[in-house]
Amino acid sequence: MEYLALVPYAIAGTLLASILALIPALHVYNIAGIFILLAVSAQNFMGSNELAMLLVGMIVGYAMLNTISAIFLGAPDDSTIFIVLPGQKYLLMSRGYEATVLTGIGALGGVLILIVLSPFASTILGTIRAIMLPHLHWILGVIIVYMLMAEWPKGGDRGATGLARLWDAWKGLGIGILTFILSGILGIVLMYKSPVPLEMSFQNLLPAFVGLFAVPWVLENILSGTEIPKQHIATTFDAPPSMIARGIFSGALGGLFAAFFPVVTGGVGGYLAGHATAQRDDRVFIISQGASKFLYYVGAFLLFFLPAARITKGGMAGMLATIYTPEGAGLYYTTVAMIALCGVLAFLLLLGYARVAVWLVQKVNYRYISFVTLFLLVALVYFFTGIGGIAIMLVATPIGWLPVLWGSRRMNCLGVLLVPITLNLAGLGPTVAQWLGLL
Amino acid sequence: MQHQVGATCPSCGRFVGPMEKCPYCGAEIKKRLPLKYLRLACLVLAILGIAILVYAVSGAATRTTTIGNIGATMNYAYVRLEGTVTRGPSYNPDQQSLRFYISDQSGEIQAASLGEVTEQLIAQNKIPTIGDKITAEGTLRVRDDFTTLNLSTADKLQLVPPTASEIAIQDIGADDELRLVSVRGDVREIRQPYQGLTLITLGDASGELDVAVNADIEKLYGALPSVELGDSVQVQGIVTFFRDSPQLLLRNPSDLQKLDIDNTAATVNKIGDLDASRVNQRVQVSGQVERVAKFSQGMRAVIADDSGEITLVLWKNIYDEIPNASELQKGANITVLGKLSEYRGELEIVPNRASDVKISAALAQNIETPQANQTAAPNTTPEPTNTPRPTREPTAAPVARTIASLTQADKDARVIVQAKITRASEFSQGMRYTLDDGTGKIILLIWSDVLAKLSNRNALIAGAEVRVTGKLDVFNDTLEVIPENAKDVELVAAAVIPTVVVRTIGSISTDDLDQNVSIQGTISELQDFSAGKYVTLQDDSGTIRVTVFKQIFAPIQDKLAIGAQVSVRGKVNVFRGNLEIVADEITFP
Repeated sequence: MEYLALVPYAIAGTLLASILALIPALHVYNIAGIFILLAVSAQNFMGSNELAMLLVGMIVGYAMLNTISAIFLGAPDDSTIFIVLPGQKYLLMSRGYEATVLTGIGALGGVLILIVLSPFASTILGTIRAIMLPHLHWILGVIIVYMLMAEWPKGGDRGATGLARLWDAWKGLGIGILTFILSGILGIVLMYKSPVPLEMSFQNLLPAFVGLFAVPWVLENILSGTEIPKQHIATTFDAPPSMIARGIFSGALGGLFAAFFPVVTGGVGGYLAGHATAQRDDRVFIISQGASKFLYYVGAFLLFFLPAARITKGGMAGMLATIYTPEGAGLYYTTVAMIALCGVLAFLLLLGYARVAVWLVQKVNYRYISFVTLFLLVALVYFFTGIGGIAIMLVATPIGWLPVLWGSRRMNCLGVLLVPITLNLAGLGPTVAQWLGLL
Repeated sequence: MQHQVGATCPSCGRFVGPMEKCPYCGAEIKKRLPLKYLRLACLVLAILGIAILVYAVSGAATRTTTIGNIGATMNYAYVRLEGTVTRGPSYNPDQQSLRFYISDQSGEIQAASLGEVTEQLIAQNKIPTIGDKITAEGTLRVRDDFTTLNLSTADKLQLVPPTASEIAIQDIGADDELRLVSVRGDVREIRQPYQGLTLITLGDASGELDVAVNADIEKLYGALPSVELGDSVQVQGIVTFFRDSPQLLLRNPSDLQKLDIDNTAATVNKIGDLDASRVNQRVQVSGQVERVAKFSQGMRAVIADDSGEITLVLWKNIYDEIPNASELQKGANITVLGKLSEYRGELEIVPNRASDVKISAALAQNIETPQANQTAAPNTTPEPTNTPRPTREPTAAPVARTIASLTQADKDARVIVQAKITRASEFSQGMRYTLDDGTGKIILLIWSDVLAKLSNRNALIAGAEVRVTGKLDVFNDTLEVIPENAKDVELVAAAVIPTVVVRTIGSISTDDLDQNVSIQGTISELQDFSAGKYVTLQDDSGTIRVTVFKQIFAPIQDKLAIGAQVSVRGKVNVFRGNLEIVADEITFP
């Protein structure tokens, strides 16, 4: 009975996330950070289980509904950067609503997979983790190499001269590697000499992520003045069950890998799974990314509630772990139930909100939305991290803009996480930091 | 066809394409800003921005904070801490991990190094050891129940070892906690209560104390020098307290050095020189046994030398271990090393171990020693005073007493005590419970035969309230109530088992002493001891030893295996300088 009292908190979290999801580039972790701050500073702010369930509801709502801003408003975060390409392709074909719903179907599949796997997770994951732990550094190294190598020289057959063709072929890859290195250096700076106030260190990465992912999108929209064609609200979907199943399976591979494996985000997991399962159909891809994104965000957070083998993966778990320790199998299965409940609720909200988004993008000037978003982002960064954070954001923005302007993958910006953590796992982090004069 | 701005000449209107000057009329053509400039600007800004940022922060000092200031929102902060090493190091060579605790005025935090950093620390001989002043830099990992400083590099760790001062064992007091001291003494006992800890009992003329040698120290610095009983040694160690008794924690095996001098505790005192001012000191006397009398808990003998006489008290466990105890007879020569105590105004010498009592059989010429008569033994013979006992036992019905009202004068009286059990421990012949009725504490001793008949034995745990009828006895200066039958132990109220939050092992510290905690983890080591098993439990945050007594262990012994996941509820204790949990309950999730 005591767990039933948590239901309203989970639902409230989902409803709150559904509102946030309509504000492009606003990440659920930023708002969760405010709740954590309130819990730390205000006594009796909320019961700890209640707060945990509110955050469960929020992350479920966000994982399902941030598709809307990703597709209609083109505001990808680190986990949706792959949806945006096929999603926006659909948007420009007037099928944004369909793309949104397909992503939602993938996410619903993610809910189902989490429920099915939840009884086995505790026994399996502890063992896998123990086996993998000594090998993390080289596995991450391989992932990084694969990420960079997969962006192989392309388009080198059109230049007038040999040099021009060489430049055409290598500029994307070169800028991709440069983006990775620069964001990696930024990550190392943040790890050892962050200008963010000590008392706000838990939001150390916020200004970097805003600068790398959100602000470049806003600037792009302000400068380009994109016009979106009139959208069609479909009543049927061109996706047979076998295709949905393939999409969910592919997405589950990536999402579960990202949820469990340290440092790897949903974007990277989805990217690897997409390659591993060689899915070429846009619909399969969109569905798979919906499942991957959901499993990454929600699956990682669910691992935090695993009895005995509690695993802290992902920003939400990382923040909550500082003030809360979940207890027992009862709470774990309650969390699974809340995920199912909030997942279905969020899907229903998605159907409605996608229609709102269709109306919104046709009625409201895209540039106005972009200006408001830019203001919100700067205010948020300043609120959490002060002037130091603003400085980080300003440094990160041109790095995040490089892939946009030079046509390389935005995923390379994840060097901000991958580089310092891989170096640290390999025992080289402090050495590189010393080379940079940081230690 | 409409061309974009810049494609036609604003002056003559002709198509000029990408030309920046009209080839027809020479007018300057205003172009839109090419994307390549934006690209290049972005590239330059990205590189320049990072360069400026690195330059700006590279000169800045790492931010220093106090341990008490660390909170949830400082997770992942890179900080410098200054303080004193208060525990550790504990070293795991398989994982190359080193853990220790830093304390400043505001709090205590666990610090850890892994892999490469541990190797660097060992290679640079920078192993933080209890008592060191330390400055360390690392990343904070804040969790709800514990916080760790993960060291970044050995280069950013500075240690200032403490300087030792020489002290007599007797003079070590509470003010010396965490001080490095140097003591000299002779090795009186060497034991290994469990794998990983060696205790060397050291004695000097003033007293005895244990020197604790953690196996991790030997793994880091090499083996302890070989010492044997009776060796004279000098030891430098940090003063810590175990159950209110001081002990020395060895920082490095080389801090124990053998001395080429005679036994430092071997000074023999004249009996006549001993007085009340030396009570609680260790003294050594040598003389002749004047008379011997048995009492319920052992033997009493009067020893005399040419300066006076003194009572020797040999508790049963000590007496039983003396190899030639049967030679303790009138006229025997005896040398005794023991603690001087006072009982009913009389001085007594109480040896702590059998090896402190050296008896040589009475020789014919000694037997006729007249001194024995000079001691006026008949006048002080205790036997007559024992005679009232039979008259007291049948007449005095047991009386309900508060613990505070009981004194050693009530020895052998039958009393009724109602109190709560605060501690339970097993020994070879039964169980010992500490009872507390709010006015004081007393030991409830239940022999095995009585225990076997107790139907509610399992309910006798900390927190349970009992009403005990039993005979009062004194053992090692401590009052004990000893029930004769199972019916003499009534359970008044069962223990209320508190609900406790599951904690991570790393979060358990000395702050939790005597607190009930609950932990979950994997069994990494099992070791038998006389009264049960030591179970080493580990989780992601650390390891801890759990002491499982037989009564807890027996029902689950088939399931207790290395690798098993268990939940343990119990009380935090410090044993031989290390934290442990004394299990009240073990379950298998």
